[in-house]
Formats: sequence, C-alpha cells, structure tokens
Amino acid sequence: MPTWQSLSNLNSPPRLHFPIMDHFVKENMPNLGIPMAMNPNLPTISDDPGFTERAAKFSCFGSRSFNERTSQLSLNSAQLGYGSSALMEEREKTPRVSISPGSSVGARENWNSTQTHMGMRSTSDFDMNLTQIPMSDRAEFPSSNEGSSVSGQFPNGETGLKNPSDFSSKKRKAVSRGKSKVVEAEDDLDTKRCKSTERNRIENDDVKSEKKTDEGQKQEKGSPKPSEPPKDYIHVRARRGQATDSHSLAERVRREKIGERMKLLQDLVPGCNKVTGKALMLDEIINYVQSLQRQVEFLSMKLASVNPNVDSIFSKDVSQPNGSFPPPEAVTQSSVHPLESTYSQNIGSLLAEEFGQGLPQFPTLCEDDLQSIVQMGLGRSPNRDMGLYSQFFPGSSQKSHMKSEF
Amino acid sequence: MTPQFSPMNPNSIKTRFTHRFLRALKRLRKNTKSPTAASSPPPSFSLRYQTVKMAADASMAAAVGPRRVWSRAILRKVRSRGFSARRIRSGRRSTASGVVRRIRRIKNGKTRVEEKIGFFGDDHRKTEELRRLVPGGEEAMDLYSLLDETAHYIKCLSTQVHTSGGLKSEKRNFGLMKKSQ
Repeated sequence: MPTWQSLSNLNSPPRLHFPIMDHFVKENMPNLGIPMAMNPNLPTISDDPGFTERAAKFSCFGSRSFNERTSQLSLNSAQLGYGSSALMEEREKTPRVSISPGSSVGARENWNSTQTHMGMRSTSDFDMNLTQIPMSDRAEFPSSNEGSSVSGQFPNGETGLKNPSDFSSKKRKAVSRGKSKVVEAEDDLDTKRCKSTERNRIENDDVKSEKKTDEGQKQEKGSPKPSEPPKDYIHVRARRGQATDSHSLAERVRREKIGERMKLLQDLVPGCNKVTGKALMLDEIINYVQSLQRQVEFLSMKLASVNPNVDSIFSKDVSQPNGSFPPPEAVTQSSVHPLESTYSQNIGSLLAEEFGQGLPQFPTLCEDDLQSIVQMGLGRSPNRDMGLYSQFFPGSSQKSHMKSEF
Repeated sequence: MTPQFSPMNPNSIKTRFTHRFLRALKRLRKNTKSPTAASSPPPSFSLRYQTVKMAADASMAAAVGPRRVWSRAILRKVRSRGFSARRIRSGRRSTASGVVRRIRRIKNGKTRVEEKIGFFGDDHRKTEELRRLVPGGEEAMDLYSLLDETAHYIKCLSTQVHTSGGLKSEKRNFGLMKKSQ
C-alpha cells in the first residue's frame, strides 16, 4: 500500500502493484502540469496514459471539475484520487480515470485489462481518502445519469464536507416540491450521505415509493426540514425534507411499513384501487371484513339448517335428473302443516335469497323465532324432514326451475 | 352439476380448512344423531347455527395454527366456550340464549366506548372498529401488526366463504337426495 507521501510525490514510482509501470508514471509526469486538452502526447491511443486521462476527462467530468482539476492539480491530488476511487467504483463499463498521478497508471492498466487493478489501485486512494476526508464516500451510486451525476458529484466531494446543507437547500429551492419524485431521487443521489450504495439505493427506491403514498396520505406531517449533515460513517441516508434524528427515523420507518401494509390490503380488498387515504381505506377494509363475516355466518346457518338431515355429504354421486332440492316454496304447499310450511318457508327463503331473489322473510326472523318454530316442527315428528321432503318431492312442480338454477 | 375433484395444493389453507371443517361437521352430525330424538330434543336451530359457526371459525383457526394473533384468539375463545358448550349439549336451552344476550350486552358496552372516543378522530375510531372486528385485535396494539392480522384474516375468511359455499351447494345437491331415496 503506497503511503500518501509516495503518491503525492510525482516522481516516485508507485509501490503498489505495478512495478513495471514506473516508466509510464515518469512519462506521465510532464503531462500533469499541462491542461489536458493541449496534451501533445495523445496521438497514440491505447498505450498512452495521457489518452486515458483525456478520455476520462472529456467523457466523465464536466467543465467545472475539469477546470478545478487543471487549476489545482497538485493540491487536488487528494480529491482527484478520491474522485478516481469514486469513479472506479461507479463506472464499471467505461474506465473512468482521474488525473492523479498515481492513479493514472492504474487507469491505464484498467483501460487495457480488468477493473480489478483499478479497484486495487483506487482502494489505496480510497483508504487514504477515508482518513483524509471523514466522510463515507462510497457515495457514487451506480446511477443511471452518468455524466451529470459524476460531474455533480465531484464538486460535492470537495464541498460536501463544508456545507452539505447549503447544497441540499440549494437543490431544494431549485426543485419545487411539486416536482416528480424522480427529480428528487436524482437530487438525493447527488447528495452523498449514504453508507453503502446498493443498500441505500434499494432503500431509496422503496422509500421513494412509500413516500409517494405517504405524502399523499399525511400532508400535515410532511413539513420539509433541512437534512442534517451526516456526522459519522455509519448513518442512514437522509431523505430530502426529512430530519434524521432517531425519533423521526423510527417514525418514518413505521409509517412506511404501515403504508406498505395498506397497499397489500388494497390488493386483497376488491375495488380499493381508486381509494386513497388511510381513512377511506380503513373504511373499505372494515366493510369488507364485516361482509365476509356476515357471509360466513349466513353460510354456516344454512349448513346448520340442512345439516342434521344429511346422511353423508361426502359422497360425490352423480346428480340425479331431479337432483335439485325440492323447492319448498310455501306458496304451493297449502296442504302442508303450517308450522312445517313455515319451516320450509324459512329454508326456502334461505335458498331463494342465495339465488338473489331476496325474500324478506329471512332478515326479519330472529333466532328466537326460528328456535320456536323449529322446536315445534321438530317436536311433531322425529323425521319431520323426511316427511317434508317426501311431501314435496312428488308434488313439486318447480323441480325444473330449481334444476335450471343448478 | 357434477363437481369433480380439482387438483388442489394439499398444503394450502383451503384444503386444510376444508378437511377440518368437514370433520367438525361430521362430528356435529354424529352428536346430534346419536342421542335419539326421543330422549332429548335435538338442539335448537340457533344452537346448531352457533355451533356450526364456531366449528367453522375453530377449524379455520386450527388450520391456520397458532401462528397468527387472531387464530390464537379464536382458539382461546373456543376452548373457553367448550365448557359452556358442554353444558349446552346437555340440553339447557337457556345457556344458548344467555350467550346471545351476553353478546348483545357486550356490544352495547362497546358502542358506549365508541362514543366516548369518537372525538379522537376518524382514524382512531376506525382502527378501534377494526380491532373489534378482527378476533384478537384488541391485543395487537400496533397498527402495523393489526393491518397484518387483518390481511391474513381477510384471506382466510374468503377461503372459508368459498369452501362453505361449495359445501352448502353440494349438500343440497346430493346429500338431501340421498336422504330422500
């Protein structure tokens, strides 16, 4: 691991991994003081480290970083190394190379070979930068907007420590609150406050999606507070407009979980897609649970009413042609005993209600009435139901009607 | 209408619930049939209805297992009612109506409580109502866990409804005709 001293010393060869690169480093030295655009050593493409530098410069960095780099090359070698390390972590397809003397060699290696060298190279810079800049700076997300984010991030690396809140506040003013959350996501990506890229990206995505529903639901709590600057390495990403103290963090997590559950419930309860807002959703949920419970009650009541009459309900025999239940519509059964007919009326009402005919008898009957009726009906004969059915069955004129229902 | 056995997931809640429910119903039928009608009057309709409903809930809860708060609450209720149910089966009708009356009293009490906290806000009121609906919701203080339980409860209730509906239509189709033959 080359020390900071060794890297800052432009003339000393890097002691890290590439002893054969010494001459390249020496060759590269004179280029550093010169603005890259005017570098005359660029004609040879693949083997010239200057080319990698220029390619990196033009492709990766914006004008601002370019200027800064050219103006403060010696001073900014730290940040350059930082920038290179950051870039190395971010850019895996195209070799992002910084102009720092040590890392340029690594960049050249990377250009020809794999990223691992650069990774190894950059980790050295990275480690040093960690000690130099007390800020966890695996901050470059593998973001989609490559050029802009990189250019945006590089100055952040320098100014991030000084006034991150100012930066975020600047961005906040630039982006109105009503803007889409995508813009906010980009802005958030620009402010480096995360510990690990992947985790926070995923968390951000979830957080953003949750934030959408949450903000729609709880407007009164959405007062934008300035994001406080992170103070140590281990910290959770601070979202825009949200405080980062532990209480509000826990509160936010809780709210997100609740919002997630509400979305799940929205999927379960039919017809809830248009309903937004916690109160209305809860209303729908309550109604649905109540209706389900009533349905279960109703069905169990039906099962109870026909239960003792059945020998076996498990036999799956082929239904007979007149397999329908002899419809005990009381209207046709004048000959039947009135109590039995009322009992059958109840059953008929139950059945008819299921078919949507909506007999009014059932809701008006309370349990006591049913009880008394059934008691009298049951008291008459132990096999009352047999009697009922035998009475109804031959004389049923509505068999076909019921059959069609089935 | 000839329902056939469609291939079902043997471990799903639906199949587990169906098995248990059918077993419970068989047991219920045996219990009502074994004492001959002359010895003791067959249980009243409301009683049967309540037992069937209880059996449905209990089989649902048993199928789910004690993993969920609401299933645990139902199982607890069933076990506590088992004592009263034994008394009911011995033929005392009053207990059943007493149970009904007790339920009504509790409902009144709860409505009173509801009015008291009505001014807390719609959200609070609704969560209270949801707690009342979902069995065991009183214990789950956290809104998040309450919503969790509600989601699972809704899923199980819908399976219950589906299977009960299927059972009912099957019974009507086949069982009764068998009886009448």
